[in-house]
Amino acid sequence: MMFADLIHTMPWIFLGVCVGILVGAVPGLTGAMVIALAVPLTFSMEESDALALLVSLYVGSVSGGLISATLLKIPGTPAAMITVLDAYPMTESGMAGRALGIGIIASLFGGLFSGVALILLAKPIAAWSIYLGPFDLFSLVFVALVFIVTVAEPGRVGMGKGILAGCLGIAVSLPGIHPATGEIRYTFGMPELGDGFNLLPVLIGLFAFSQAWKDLTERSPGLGTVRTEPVKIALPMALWLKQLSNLIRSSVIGTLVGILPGIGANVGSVISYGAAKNLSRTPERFGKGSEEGLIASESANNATVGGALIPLIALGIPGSVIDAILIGAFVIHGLQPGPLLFQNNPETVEGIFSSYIVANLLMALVMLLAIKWIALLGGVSKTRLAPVILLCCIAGSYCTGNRIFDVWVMVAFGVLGLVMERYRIPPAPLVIGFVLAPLAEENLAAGLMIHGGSYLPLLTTPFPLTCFGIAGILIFLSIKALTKTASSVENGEAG
Amino acid sequence: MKVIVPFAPGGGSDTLARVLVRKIQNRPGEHAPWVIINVPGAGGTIGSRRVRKAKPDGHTLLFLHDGILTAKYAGQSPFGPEAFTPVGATGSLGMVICVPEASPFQTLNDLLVAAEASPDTVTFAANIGAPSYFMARSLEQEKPGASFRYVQSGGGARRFADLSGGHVQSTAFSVSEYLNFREGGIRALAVLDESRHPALPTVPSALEQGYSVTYRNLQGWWAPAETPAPVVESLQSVLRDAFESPALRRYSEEQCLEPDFLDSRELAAAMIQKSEMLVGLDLEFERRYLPPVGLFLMIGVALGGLLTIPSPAAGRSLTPTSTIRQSLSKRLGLAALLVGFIVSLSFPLGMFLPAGILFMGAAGLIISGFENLRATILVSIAAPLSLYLFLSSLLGIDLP
Repeated sequence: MMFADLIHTMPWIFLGVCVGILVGAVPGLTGAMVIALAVPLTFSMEESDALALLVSLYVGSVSGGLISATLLKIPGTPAAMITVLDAYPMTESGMAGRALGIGIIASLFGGLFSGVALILLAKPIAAWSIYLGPFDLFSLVFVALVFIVTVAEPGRVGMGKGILAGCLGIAVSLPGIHPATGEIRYTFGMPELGDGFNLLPVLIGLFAFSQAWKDLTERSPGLGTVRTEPVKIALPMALWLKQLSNLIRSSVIGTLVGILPGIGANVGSVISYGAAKNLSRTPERFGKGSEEGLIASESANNATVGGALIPLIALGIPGSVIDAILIGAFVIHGLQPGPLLFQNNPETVEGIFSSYIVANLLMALVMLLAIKWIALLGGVSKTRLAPVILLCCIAGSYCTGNRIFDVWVMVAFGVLGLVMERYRIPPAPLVIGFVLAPLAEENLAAGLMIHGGSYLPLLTTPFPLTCFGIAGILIFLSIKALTKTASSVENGEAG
Repeated sequence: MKVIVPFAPGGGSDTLARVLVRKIQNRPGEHAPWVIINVPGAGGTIGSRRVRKAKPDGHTLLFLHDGILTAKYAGQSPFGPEAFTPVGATGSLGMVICVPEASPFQTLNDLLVAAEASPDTVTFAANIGAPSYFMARSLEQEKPGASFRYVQSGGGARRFADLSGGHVQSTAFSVSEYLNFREGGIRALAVLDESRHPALPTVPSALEQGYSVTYRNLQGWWAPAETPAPVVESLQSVLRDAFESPALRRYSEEQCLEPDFLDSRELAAAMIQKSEMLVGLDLEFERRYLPPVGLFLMIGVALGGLLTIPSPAAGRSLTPTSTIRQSLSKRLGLAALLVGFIVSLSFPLGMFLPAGILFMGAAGLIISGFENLRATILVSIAAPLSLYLFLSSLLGIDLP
């Protein structure tokens, strides 16, 4: 990317990072929510500016959670839920500034590490992906789907709920036009359903509307006073040298978890926290203010962002909920993620790479300079904010298709989101199922057409078989890790 | 201005639409932004459906080649070009039949002989219902007994990926798509025309090889039905000016686009002529290979349901949340307010700004009563107003 272009998009990156950090820091506002609301706003922007803004929002929102986690014991985003375990105890013992400083530097390291991985891996993966046939793509998508539904919630019941949510997402994707034949199906006599449910109203409903409604109708217990302290960045070099292996390991885990389709930052920090604890010489400090734990969590959750952009850009398969929204944004701006993106729009790819790196640097800078003021926002009354967000939800879902039908769809999915939350059913599998099901169905149909209706090649050709094998192992491992950490989180909360 | 391109970005239609729209956009005196929206899927019918339902005010245009006609005859969509107002056609494209570089087929005849010797085994990637599918069907007609095994693929970009990855044995591209993709490990067998194409002097024509299949894909622009004639005429002249500009001439030459502009009436006449050709063809396609999605879904639900049946120990994970909810009457009041707000937006009377201020004010009163009244009033006016100004003035989105 030319330097001049970067100067041009810089204000958008700055805006995205700032808004993202705010959103991350304010409990009740999530990255998925704000990015879903921001996509319609980018309709009339230049594609490079739009993508730079959205990517920076993504980076900022994953990072901002650190602030409220450290100062208020509230994870501002799900990604920061593990950060709370060690950052808040540090605050209690008067080391808030140190905790923030460590968290910011760890975030920056994780973000840049996965950025390098993104730049190095995306193009070769995209070039190689042309050898993937319909059945190969189907198995990749299928594995992503299976993976997200099984690891969204720990435990056997959690897995069952994940599967149910995934099936619900697939069912929601069915109305509209058959991906392989073009016939209209399951519209139940509603002409508006002719091209199915739009992605944005579904997302805004599930993530923004339901959260805002909860904030509006629930009185949360009073927050503690916000303590602000100057951030300490002048940390001894010895600390970082000692923690280098932890930093790198957690960043690698974060990046890999990001690449795995369907799961996001919170799982990345859970797994790297578990790994750091198992390998630590002082595992008993974890959960009581361990700097190691904080570093593991914060570097991993930021590393998932760059990792998740790899399958998105190289294959057009979303690695997380936010990536699913980003795919929609790509298409709106006339870009098709995948191998042809590198061929037809190399400048766009470079633009995304450089905005990602710049966004990470700006993130660290903004957090270091402005943390005092951002921390105060953690105390903003959620009930005051909620009606404004509801208004944005309505306007945002209307913008996507200029019809009231989409607003009703948004409200319906918002209500569905509340019901699901009531029964602790995770919403992420629903979204991923909704996004991936048409892709899976189209490729399965094409594969069956190539092979004259035989499913056998799915089990006899190496690529699908490898996919299924890897998925099996990963699911087994992550269920183990998740169950373990989940129980330690519960114990930590109790004690 | 919204231009719906019913194919994925990167294909031939998308590129041409973008070049044209950029030209129109740079016209002196053109203020309205022209935005291209890709609505891919189902042989172009998802996009065309959207334009059919759009308001006939001249602000939405469909850019769709002969697919508009073939989808109807393939039974994919109940409507054809008659459901739209033709605006004009910006040239037409010749088509080529392609195979992977390493394919044993050297000529069009090799391919068709193989398709005849063992019917339903030679795979052909097509966008079912779109011209690529129709062309293969007309080839089959030329060689009685030959039949391809059709594989649902997509627009040019997707067909290229399928062909160059060796997943299918043959497919069709427009001449300009072929020019873009030919370095990528594919080989052309024939141009579907009476004579060779000037840009591809080494590729033999179909007629040369004994098959009289001619196909030129018209690049049509369509407005929703009942768009007023003066609007159509002004759009037509905008398109004609852009298409006949020297820059576009050069582009057409590079991309092997036949540079004849058809006006509204000529486009309608060409469509009638083409539909006469299509009537005789069998465009039904094989449905038995479609996956039983409903069955898979039921298996998934059964599996998930089985896992969720709680065991005695699992109940503990459902810890109640520590938050206190607002009273039922307040919640019902808020819900009624929200529904009322959205319902009021669906009538022409309701407008976003006043309804939004009312909604915000009432919601604020329900939540915090009359304490802090000044803040409530301030927020409920400032928030809808700034949102409205931001969306409508800055971003050009029309709210109700």
